[in-house]
Amino acid sequence: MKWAALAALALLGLPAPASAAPRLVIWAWERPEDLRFAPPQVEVAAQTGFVVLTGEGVFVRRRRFPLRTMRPPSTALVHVQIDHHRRLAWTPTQRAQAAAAVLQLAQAAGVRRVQVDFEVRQSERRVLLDLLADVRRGLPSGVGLSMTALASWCETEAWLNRAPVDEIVPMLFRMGPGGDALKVRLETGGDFAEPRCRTALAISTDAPLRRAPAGRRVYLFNPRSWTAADFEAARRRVETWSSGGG
Amino acid sequence: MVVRRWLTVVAVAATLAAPTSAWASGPSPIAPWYVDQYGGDPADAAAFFKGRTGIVMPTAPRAMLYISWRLLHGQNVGQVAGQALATPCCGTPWWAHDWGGGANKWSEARKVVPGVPQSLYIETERPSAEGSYSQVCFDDAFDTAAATLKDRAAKHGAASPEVRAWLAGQDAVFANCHKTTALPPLPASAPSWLKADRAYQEAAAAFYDTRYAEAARRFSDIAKDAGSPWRGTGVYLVARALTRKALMEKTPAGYAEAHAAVARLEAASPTTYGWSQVLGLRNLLGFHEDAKAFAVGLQQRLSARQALPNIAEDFRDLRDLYDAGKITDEPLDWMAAMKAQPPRPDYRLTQNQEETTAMIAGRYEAARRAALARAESRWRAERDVAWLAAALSLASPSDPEAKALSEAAASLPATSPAWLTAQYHLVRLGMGQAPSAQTRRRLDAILARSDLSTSDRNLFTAQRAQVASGLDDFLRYALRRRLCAHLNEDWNQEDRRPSCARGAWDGGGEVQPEGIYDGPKSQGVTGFGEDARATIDRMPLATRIALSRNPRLPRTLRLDVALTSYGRAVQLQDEGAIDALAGELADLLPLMAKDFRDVRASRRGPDKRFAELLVLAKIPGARTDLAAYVRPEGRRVADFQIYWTDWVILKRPAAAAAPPLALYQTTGDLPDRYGQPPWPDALTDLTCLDECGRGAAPLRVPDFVDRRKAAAERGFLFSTEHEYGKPAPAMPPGAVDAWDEMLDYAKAHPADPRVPEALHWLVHVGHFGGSHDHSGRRAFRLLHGRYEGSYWAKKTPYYND
Repeated sequence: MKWAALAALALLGLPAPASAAPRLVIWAWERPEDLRFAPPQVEVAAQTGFVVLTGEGVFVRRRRFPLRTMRPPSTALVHVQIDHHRRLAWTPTQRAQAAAAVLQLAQAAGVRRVQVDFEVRQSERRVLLDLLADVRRGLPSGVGLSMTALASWCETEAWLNRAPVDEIVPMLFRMGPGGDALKVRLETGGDFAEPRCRTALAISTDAPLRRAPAGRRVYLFNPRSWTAADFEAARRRVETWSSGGG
Repeated sequence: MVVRRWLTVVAVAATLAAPTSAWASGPSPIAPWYVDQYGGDPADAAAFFKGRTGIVMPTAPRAMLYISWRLLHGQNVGQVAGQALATPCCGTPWWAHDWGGGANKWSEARKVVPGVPQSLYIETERPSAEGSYSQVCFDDAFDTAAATLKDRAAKHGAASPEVRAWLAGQDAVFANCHKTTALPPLPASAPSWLKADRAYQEAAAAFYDTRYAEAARRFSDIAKDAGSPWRGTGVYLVARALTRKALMEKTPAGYAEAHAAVARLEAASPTTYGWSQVLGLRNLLGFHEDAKAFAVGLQQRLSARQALPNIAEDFRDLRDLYDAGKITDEPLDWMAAMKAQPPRPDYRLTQNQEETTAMIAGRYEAARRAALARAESRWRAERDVAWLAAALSLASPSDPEAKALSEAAASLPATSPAWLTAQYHLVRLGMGQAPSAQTRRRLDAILARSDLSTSDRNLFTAQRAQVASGLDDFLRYALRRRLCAHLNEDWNQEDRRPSCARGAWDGGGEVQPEGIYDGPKSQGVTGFGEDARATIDRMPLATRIALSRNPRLPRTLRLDVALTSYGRAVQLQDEGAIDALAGELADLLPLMAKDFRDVRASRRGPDKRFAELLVLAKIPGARTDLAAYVRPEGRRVADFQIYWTDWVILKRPAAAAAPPLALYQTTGDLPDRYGQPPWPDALTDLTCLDECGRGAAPLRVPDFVDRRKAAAERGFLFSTEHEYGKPAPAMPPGAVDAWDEMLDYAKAHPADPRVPEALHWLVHVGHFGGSHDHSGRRAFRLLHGRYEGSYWAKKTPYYND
């Protein structure tokens, strides 16, 4: 019953109660990772592919580094970027290619969620929204769609509200101008301006956040290959958020 | 099309054009800003490659440490070899990758054939181990296919059925890059040119599909076919297919067959297609067939006095064999000793941060001691200065080996390539005991040299600052020149090789800290070294004030010292110091000039205290120590960033300590000391930021600093800041909270024109977590209750308490 209620909250895009245990997801980016230390309740989001939109074309590459886990990753992350050396055509064909690539790269047994990591400039936001819409259409039922977001998008960008995703993951590290103020606001009990940014967040092991809203899915980034110690430190840090200590 | 790949990089077997992690999104660690284990700015890197050894930094990548090893042994490196070794392996570097080439170029070329459906995209990889993929088809294969299609379309008509059949065959060839795919059959009536091309396509498809025996047989047939335009490629491609077959099968017969094919290629004319790949193929076979014998060849080549053309590849192959445990190698042993890495996580994790920190420190210490014993014994046995440098880097001042190693360092001649390294560690090991004057003389002589790299100069300067004879002397060495400041710009120029090697290694993610240089935000060329910042925070107020007034200090840095001193002066209630600093700050922080002038102009007593505290209510980053301070920057006061601290004024001193040194080290090669403080001060290296070795480098506060006075003042610098999860420290008896006092004053002085603005800021303080006993809410109610409709009430529509 309790899980059903939490699931309902998640579907509604509402934050879970503050007392819920942190739901941790270890990000396995493009480096060799041995995550067999991860406890059963901790998910793994693996970068499975890399897509570059270039001119009229699409460059596609799969994960090149080994990943060891005790259980299959729950989330397939596909990083997308635009090659700024060539003017992006964003033709219907290219659109179709890009979405097909993301869907293909994200195909893996056990994946419950596909996550698109695509940092775009202001003029390129349509491309991101188009891609998300196309990917959404191609996803099998039961597989959720997640996107990473610059934390600043969750503050000022109304277009984010149109993103056809189940989850928006603001990244609370290397935030640039305004980042400190946002960090302070979160550390002192505040929240993101955009309500859809209130179900998940991401932190980095080298930019710890003293406190953030509890009860959300927390993606853990490590700029180096993970160790059990890195994970434990991050986990303990996150657990303090819900313990009232911050 | 199968075309040649440059195969000299034997390690390609393991990494086959593996990307660097730079290709992934996400940030990388923060970069040190005044020491650089990657060789520093381009001019310094060039001097390093030319022979200027400098201070050996064990945290450098091994390929770069190999440069140091060569220089320490009288071997040359040079610009070409240096650049090659300083470039991360493998494949096209991220800054030079042509995303639109290869498969995309081929997709574009296909459009020449009318009515052919466009492929969605082409996968070039096949599954490898543990969820990873290996690239099978490379850009040059697609380039060759595109050129061939263009030629065949021009000769036979782009819309002709033959060219369409050719294209269908080629699409199937490339489908084999990802999975097994049969080629469509050709009609018996196909012209001879198409049959010849199809034979080549069948061979290529077999190659990509890892049917190497079949591929070799087909390429061999092509080599004998006088009518095939691909005849010239046959000998090479047979050798390549059989080499792949041998690597897959790993049998003596397979290796023999491959060697024979490579020998046939070598025996052919040097103009034969792929002839230049003979060495690469031999290396590839040797690497897998007999690692020890292959390593002997690598070691022989690497031991040449002059760097040979393939030095970087040879070194990487040797490194890979070493890491696989297949060989021993002295340079790599030397690097492993210096790095002194503890084994991968083999420790029990606890829930207690202090316990875990102690456990991590213990693991590092055990690894350091073992490596020191190894290095010291090698030095004693062989008198090789490289091993002396390693032992020195691992030694801590309290080690029993430190004395003998220091003596050995002191006796090295200045002509030794290890001299600078030895001098650095000699000073480090003696920093705590050697007379300051003696250390100053040694360092002054070194700093007088004109041939130091910026990084090395910064390191010796950091040591020199710690033995400064007085404040002026300290200031002369407290500032450091920033390195690789332009890296951030490089990363915005995605087609440009980073100007500092560290940018190539990290690949575009490193971040340099903001607000610590002499320019706004991340701009500027100099700043205080971490050691200097810690020292300044350990100075008494009067010394800090003198420092902030020194015109030799850049204005931005004067502001930093003056503003942190102001916080101290308020907490100490030193009115003379407050006035002096307010006068200075009115000039250094023009946005707040009126506020600081008000401080000086106000009558002593509650009126003046209100003015003093109002300043603190407007500057969120004001602190008493540079360790926690954030410089106020922006066009308006409201732009100032970070959160407020709860300022408290004591009547009597409380027990207090200066900030842990670990707080000053936000950069550098931090071991996995997660949790950050409490990392012991004795293990914190603010001089070289852990880049110079595992030996301890405790900070020495210069003798001229009146530490007793500073400690007495520290008792008044009470802070309510505390770790999350732990209770806030109790207010000492008689302590006064600044926001409480301002509210009391506001209530008692309704006509004071400063009050509405002060209440606005108190609400703002509360919004950012600095509230004391709901001071934000109380200020809001007073502001709206008493000054409803005022400018400041309108600017304060809500509170967040």
